[in-house]
Amino acid sequence: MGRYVVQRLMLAVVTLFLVTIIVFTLLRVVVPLAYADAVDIIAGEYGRNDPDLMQKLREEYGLTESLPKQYLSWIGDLLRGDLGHSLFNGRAITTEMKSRLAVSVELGLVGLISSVLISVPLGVVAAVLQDRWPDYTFRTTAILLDSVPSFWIAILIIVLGSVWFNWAPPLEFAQIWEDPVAHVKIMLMPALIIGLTPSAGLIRIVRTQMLEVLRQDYIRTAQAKGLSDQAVVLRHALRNALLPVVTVLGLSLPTLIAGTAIFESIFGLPGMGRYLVSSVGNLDYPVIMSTNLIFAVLIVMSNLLVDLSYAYLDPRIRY
Amino acid sequence: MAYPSIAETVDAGWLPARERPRPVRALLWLLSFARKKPLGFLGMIIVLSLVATALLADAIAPYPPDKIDLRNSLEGPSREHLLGTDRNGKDTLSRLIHGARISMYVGFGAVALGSTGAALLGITSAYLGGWGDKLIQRFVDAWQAMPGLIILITLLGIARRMPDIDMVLAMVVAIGILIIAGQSRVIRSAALATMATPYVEAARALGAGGPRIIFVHVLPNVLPLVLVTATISLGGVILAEASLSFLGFGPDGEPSWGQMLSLDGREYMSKQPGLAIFPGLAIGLAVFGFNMFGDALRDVLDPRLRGRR
Repeated sequence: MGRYVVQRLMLAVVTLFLVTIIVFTLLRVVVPLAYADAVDIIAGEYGRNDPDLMQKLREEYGLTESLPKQYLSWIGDLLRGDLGHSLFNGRAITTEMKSRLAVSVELGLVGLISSVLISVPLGVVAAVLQDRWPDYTFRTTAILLDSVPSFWIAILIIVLGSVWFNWAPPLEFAQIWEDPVAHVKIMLMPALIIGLTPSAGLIRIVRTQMLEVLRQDYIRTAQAKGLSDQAVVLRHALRNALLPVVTVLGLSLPTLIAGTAIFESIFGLPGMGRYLVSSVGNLDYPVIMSTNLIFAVLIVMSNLLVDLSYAYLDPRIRY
Repeated sequence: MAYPSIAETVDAGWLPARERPRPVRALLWLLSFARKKPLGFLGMIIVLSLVATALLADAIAPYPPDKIDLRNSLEGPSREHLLGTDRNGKDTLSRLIHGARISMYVGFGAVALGSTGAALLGITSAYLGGWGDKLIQRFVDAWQAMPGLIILITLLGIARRMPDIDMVLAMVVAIGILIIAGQSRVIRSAALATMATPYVEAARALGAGGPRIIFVHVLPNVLPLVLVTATISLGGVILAEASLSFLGFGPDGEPSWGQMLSLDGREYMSKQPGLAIFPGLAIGLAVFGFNMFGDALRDVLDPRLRGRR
């Protein structure tokens, strides 16, 4: 087990190292060659095209150094926890990122919980009542959830909510430590809707897994002992059916995390996705590089957690 | 070429399979497909209608999509405007019909690019083996460690800033690149299995070189898988296109479904809810059609993958 953990950790480090190379090559090599570097953009922003000044700025930003040296100094800053400064407002990205990361992670986690709360009951009921109307209803629901964009559901809720109930999502964002009630009010709706899309796949996998498990001998034994249906389904079957569900949950994390970018824009939440969307329009390199990297770190870490949780959840798996 | 009459077709249906004329075989296959996979058949009809809509948009649309008519702005469905109008009096139905163009163009374009790339990368990686394979796979890992939509926002946001870039083409390329990484995995594992077969070893023994083995021996064997993964990914690509247009990374000027839902129209949507409802339905219908067709095609073409979803 220990060896496996070390192996997985090393693989994660290699993956993240390659991510930094991809991000650096794209934003610090390809884009400047094809279009403009940071100094061009700053100069364009202030309407100053003085070549001497630009040369001076390039030296100040270290853009005249060789590429490997630039890369190493970026990595060095990263390892010290310094993400650099935004080209536009000059603010330290690390400070900005802390509150934004909290918003995005909260959105993703509550979304994850909401998708489990939606899909596990529906999947279990569909399996227990196989080929009866609840089964067909929930399977159709899954197909529809797969087809319909979740941002559309959010828009419908906002639009129809204002038409029918005169309800609108709050506009002012409050952090949880500032005003918990206002925070929950603004976060709950987007977090619940984000969970809808991943639910589609989860309903299906819970259903198939339950169907498989319910046909096994030990379930018949449990029924023969005279246990109630409820106990058989929930305590004996569900537990064993849930392992592959963890895999699918892990696989749906990128969808969830990327979805935050859309939902933060719709509901006006100050998260990482919206930070990226707004800075990419300004070609704010340091912010673009940092957000991409942090999204990658989140995904790599959650994949690692999913892999390691198998061993914990299923005692048969030993590495 | 003279096509057989219905009576002849029915008669020909009873001929042994090899003696049936080609159109009859196609028709019979279609009928059996419709009977065995009704949802897939429905999906196929949706897909074909959408492609036809996109191709014939100018002819079918009742109004030009950009015709401004301020006297009739924000109208509900009526006989003149079947699905109502937006704030500038542009006809919603006509805009939806024209919006099918971008969805189909980006959908098929990105998948064609992505699947071709994925096939080449996957097979090459499997053929190289050893260190080359390992290196390629680690890069694929890294590429996949970044959420797809985030990569797309980054790439298209940059493209948007550059002058003279066709955003539709940029979308095709960006989504295509994203597909390459994901699908090359599937293709690679199939190619690895093929590489291990005796006939590839025989080809090697006969002195066949790399390109010959890749294109003549391995590619034809993984081609059905490439087709299936391509078809299945179409629905997701259309969804991605809609999300990107929704966020404002789509082309300006041309109507697209995602852009019709975008945030700057939100206040008008509460005055005329049709503006929020119909574009979403169009996206849902398209994605549903492609998903169902893709699933059915997979079941028919590649029984090994049955029940993956």
